[in-house]
Amino acid sequence: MEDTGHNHMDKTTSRDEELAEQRRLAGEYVPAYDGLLVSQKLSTELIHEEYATGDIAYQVKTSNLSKDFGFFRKIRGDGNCGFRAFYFGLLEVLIELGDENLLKAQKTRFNEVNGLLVRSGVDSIIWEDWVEATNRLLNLLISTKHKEERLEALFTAFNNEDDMSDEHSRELLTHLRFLISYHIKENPEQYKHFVPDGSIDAYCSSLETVSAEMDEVSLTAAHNMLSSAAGINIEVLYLDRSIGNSVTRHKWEPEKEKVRGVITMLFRPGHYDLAYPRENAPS
Amino acid sequence: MAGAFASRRLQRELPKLQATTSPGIKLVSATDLQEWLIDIQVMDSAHPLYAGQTYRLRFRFSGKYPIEAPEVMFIRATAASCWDQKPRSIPMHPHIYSNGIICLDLLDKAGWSPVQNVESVSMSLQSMLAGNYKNERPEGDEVFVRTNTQRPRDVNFEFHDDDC
Repeated sequence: MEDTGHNHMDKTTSRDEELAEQRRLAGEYVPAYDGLLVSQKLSTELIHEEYATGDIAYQVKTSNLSKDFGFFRKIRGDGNCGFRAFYFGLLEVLIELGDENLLKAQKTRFNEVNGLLVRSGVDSIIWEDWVEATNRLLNLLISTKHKEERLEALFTAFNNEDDMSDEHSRELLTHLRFLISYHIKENPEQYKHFVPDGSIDAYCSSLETVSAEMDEVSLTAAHNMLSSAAGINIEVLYLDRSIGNSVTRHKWEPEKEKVRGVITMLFRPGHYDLAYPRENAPS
Repeated sequence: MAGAFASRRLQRELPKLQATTSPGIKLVSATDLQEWLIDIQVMDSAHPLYAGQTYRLRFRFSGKYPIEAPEVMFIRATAASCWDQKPRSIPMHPHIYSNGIICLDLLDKAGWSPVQNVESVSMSLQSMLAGNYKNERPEGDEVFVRTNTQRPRDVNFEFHDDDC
């Protein structure tokens, strides 16, 4: 993959650095850029090492984190990290479960919620490419027969930013972003108490710009629409300066009693990564 | 070079735009999928600034369109080069610099939404003109026009207030 990060003009770079510094000062986590949109699984020891010279609260929490969660994936922090982590995590969990029918059911679920786009009244020329991107990826995963090959196909699709290609991560994420927005607009009663000033319109207008990041409201909406009914739970590990020796864990329960799998997202203020529990870790 | 998704989207927008029934919006040229020209008119025939005038917009698309905003600006054109034999100038507006660069949040990186399209942007600019009665340029126009070397979409405008 071409690393465009080094082609910025000096002026842009210094502005980017300035912004990054401002975000650091504001206590937000700004991940290092390593070229991939979704990395391979990496040891969580790396997270601990990142804070080796930093805040003691983070040193303790990251040390404990790696006891229960052995691996993580770095997700590119470009405003899409939360959407990218959720969408990749959902499909990865379904693939890991090893049942092709779960992928087929997820494709059906996507096609059902695509009704939101139809009912929105927005011209289909606007969204049909995004719907197609998701369908193409799910068809590819379903027709690929081995788990390892499926994971490889998922990894490739989510890391593909080649403008000329049909397998494209930007369209996948835009599809998810608009599904979430239209789901919230169709169910205002469910969400209006959780958005700023109770304004669904303002919240969704912002969500529909490509720079708005995922928050708990949009994550909840994504879960209600796409993972809950699949029996997939979401757990967020909050790594921040709050009191305690461990990350704060919060679960979004699925609507079915049977939990098939869990998407674990590691949250640092301003950023989501994916995390993976060790086998014997307490759940 | 337009990317696969950008090309598909623009190929779908084109026939809609050619057949558009939006008054005051006319596709002038779209010879490729990289640069389109659109003429817009303010439909208010009593408008003190824009009545009877036609203005020309130039859209440029990157391979990341529509996830990324197109570059949109007003351009000048000679009478001889226009279908109605009338020249195109840059409309006077507190958010339009005299070099044609437009300060509008929906065209900015942070304000752009991929639900926008060529026609909706043209309509927004049309109403941006229609609602304006100030015969003036943005503050600092002269300096900006003389010194700006950035492409329109790389300019970092502040949208904290009405001034650019």
